[in-house]
Amino acid sequence: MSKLTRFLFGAYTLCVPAERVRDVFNVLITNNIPFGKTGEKEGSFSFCLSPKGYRRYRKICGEKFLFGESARETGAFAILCRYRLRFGMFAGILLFALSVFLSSLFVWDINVSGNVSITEAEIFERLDAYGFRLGTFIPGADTDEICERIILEAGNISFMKINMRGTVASVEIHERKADAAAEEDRSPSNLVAKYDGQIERFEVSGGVPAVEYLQPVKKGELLVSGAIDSNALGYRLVQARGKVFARVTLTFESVVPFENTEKTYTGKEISQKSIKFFSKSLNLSKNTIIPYEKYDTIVDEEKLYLFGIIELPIYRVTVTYKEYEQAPHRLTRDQAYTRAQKALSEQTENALAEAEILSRKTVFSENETGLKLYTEVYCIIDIAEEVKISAN
Amino acid sequence: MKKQSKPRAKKEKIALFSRAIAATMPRMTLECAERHALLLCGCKKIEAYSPEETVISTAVCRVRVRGACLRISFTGDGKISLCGTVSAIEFE
Repeated sequence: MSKLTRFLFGAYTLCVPAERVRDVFNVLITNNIPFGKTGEKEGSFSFCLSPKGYRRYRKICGEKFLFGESARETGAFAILCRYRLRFGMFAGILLFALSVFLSSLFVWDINVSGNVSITEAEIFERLDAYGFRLGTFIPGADTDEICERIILEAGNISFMKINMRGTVASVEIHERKADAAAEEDRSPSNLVAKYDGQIERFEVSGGVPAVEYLQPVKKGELLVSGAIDSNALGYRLVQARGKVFARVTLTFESVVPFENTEKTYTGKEISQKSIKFFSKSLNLSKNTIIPYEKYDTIVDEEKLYLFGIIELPIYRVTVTYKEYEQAPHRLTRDQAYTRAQKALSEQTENALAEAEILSRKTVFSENETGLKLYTEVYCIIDIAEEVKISAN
Repeated sequence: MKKQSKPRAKKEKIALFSRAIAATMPRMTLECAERHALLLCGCKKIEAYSPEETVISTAVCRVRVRGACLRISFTGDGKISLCGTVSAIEFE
């Protein structure tokens, strides 16, 4: 009999003195009564009989056992009978079973997959707006309807599906491609100049160019017109599309004062711990008042696991408040120059990402109050900017 | 009368058939799984038992098994299994 069988169906453990164990075994063998799980303890042997085998053995023995053995019933039924007056235990077992059953009706975890540019936080926010979050009652949530509404509301999602696997919701998303999104908007438009410059070349795929090669243009001037007048089809409005490259001079400036305030931490900090279960939070700290005037807040959420492998929908949240003070600080010339250079690089990196740089001139000036970096970049860049044509 | 004799005849046939089969089969078999388990079929009774030595009487001979931590189980129909570390098996 396996352990599980013994527990579920019950078994009898008999204990026999060592000198009589042979006789007991022979009686059992002669009467074809199976036994097993023999063990030795303090000069006596124990073995297990099935309930049926035990009843047959008792019939053979009569009122008293023949060889001085003692019997003990084991198994689930025996335990229940032994503790039948302990109502608290049964109530606890019932509560446990109920908790296990009820907990399977709520969402414990939400996993998002397939997202590239859309963040998980954005997805959770959208789901939360329709009442789908950790702790949501699963039978009451219409996941198909939620997905349809989110797809209609968000312009950048082409497919969304929530699959429930037990208590874990797997959200699968396919994002709409940027080209597809842009192509959908085919309303009439013109292309105008973003900067002053001299036209270098065209790459026009929609509309009629309104400027010529080497023509100087001003900011806001029409480059490609979306209004087409043809003899065959008459006057019509289309979406002007393409790129217009021009030689432009772009300027960037970065000013860094020597005197500024710097944030320094005083070293004092307070931590508050809490437990987050689904969307409910239980504060574990006595003190909730923060005695600092200025402080940074750092929130750390740690998911809890059972036996290190089973994920629970419980988070241990630690909020740390670090005090800081703003002290006046004077930068050295080198420090100010480094900061100015860094700020200037950030500006130019974004603006000149697809530009062909022909020359660059940087001017550095300094006075008592601060330092200024000024750079002029002569480059060839796409200056076309789409402007919609209004109906009026 | 005929109805009563039919089941009896059938039983006698089955018994005859079983005896014929039994006569061709060995009366005692012993199987070993490495040194840790032993199955003995055709047992009649246990002559002696202790975790270090067990003597079992079969239809053909006596089998003495020596070892350490020998645990005995009876699965019915004359089959005894011994688990533990077997160091020697003797036939007497």
